[in-house]
Amino acid sequence: MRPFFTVLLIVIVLGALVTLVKALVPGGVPVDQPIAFNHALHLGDAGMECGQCHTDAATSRFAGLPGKEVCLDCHDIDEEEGSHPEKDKLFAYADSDDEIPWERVALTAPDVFFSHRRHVTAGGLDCLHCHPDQPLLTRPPATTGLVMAMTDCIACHEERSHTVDCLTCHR
Amino acid sequence: MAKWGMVIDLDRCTACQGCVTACQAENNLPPTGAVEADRGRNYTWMEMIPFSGEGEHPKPIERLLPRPCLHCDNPPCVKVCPVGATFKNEEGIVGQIFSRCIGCRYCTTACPYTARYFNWSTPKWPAPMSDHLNPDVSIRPKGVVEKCTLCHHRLQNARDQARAENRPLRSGEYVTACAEACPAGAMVFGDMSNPESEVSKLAHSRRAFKLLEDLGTDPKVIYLREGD
Repeated sequence: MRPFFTVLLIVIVLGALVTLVKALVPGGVPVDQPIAFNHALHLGDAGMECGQCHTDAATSRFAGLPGKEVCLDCHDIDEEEGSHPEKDKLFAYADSDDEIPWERVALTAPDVFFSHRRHVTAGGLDCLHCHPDQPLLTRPPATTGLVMAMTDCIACHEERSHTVDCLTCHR
Repeated sequence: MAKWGMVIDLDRCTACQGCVTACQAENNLPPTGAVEADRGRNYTWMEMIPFSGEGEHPKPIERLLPRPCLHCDNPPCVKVCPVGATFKNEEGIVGQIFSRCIGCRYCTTACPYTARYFNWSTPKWPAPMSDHLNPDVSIRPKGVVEKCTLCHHRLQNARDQARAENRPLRSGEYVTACAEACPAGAMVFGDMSNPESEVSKLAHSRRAFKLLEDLGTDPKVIYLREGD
């Protein structure tokens, strides 16, 4: 066999393998959060609302990730220290000058501009409309991932007779 | 439905290029450097077009015409785009979706005003400019065509504020960066569909003219010539 066809065959086989692996393994980049935050516990038993920690959702493009002072509003270092390893991580941040280095997991493409404010305040959407699985998570997601696909956005906009002008989201 | 447009009064314009600078800062337009600029590869969504040859020595007249994308009502660029990356939206803004563009440059050829720019290289900003990019505007990658969007992100921000306060969008709340920066007040931006708006009245004044009007592109950026 000619060298050209050998190389071509190898490229095709490798391409097929990469595609297969991508299809089988869940997408996104692995994320290791500084604290294994339990959404189910906080939204369930503790009866909290999303906006108590993600304080900017109604006023900003980004919902915001909570600083340690938000956690320490509820958690008492004197009473709870040593009661849970993840709480101890929080208290270690509380004792240091460092902020909790949360990693963003819900990312959009660089040219997509999603505004939480527009959807929460003007649209009146509940957080669970787009994040239905969040109250069930006992650990942070292991990988980054797009929560929404464009087809989901367009379906919702068409259902509510909202604009589907490309400029609304893409710039 | 609003129809956004702009009037540029050439009698007031002092060619200070404040609009050019404001546009570049607002829309994350990278400096290309002398070599690329010499090859005609500058990114100037708002460009000063020089016209000379009038007047005689010792008083030659040099005219400069600020030229953004004219957001034609009958845009030739939209007709030639094979992938639907450029389009006219319902408010008359000619949009460009960078992620859909395949970089064929049909539109740059079709635009009679040369208001479209092809990204010949990955954009780079020297420090400290790189720390001061506008987070409301994307960084366009190499290999796509880009153009003035009439600062559409400003319209969205103004509209968000109005909705949050449960009121309609006020006149003057949405202004492009170039019009906002113009120290001579030569640029007036607003809703062309409102006959009471300043921009609409100026667009119907005796001094108004459209660039290359005989082409039938029907631009929504209208110029005012000298005179009373």
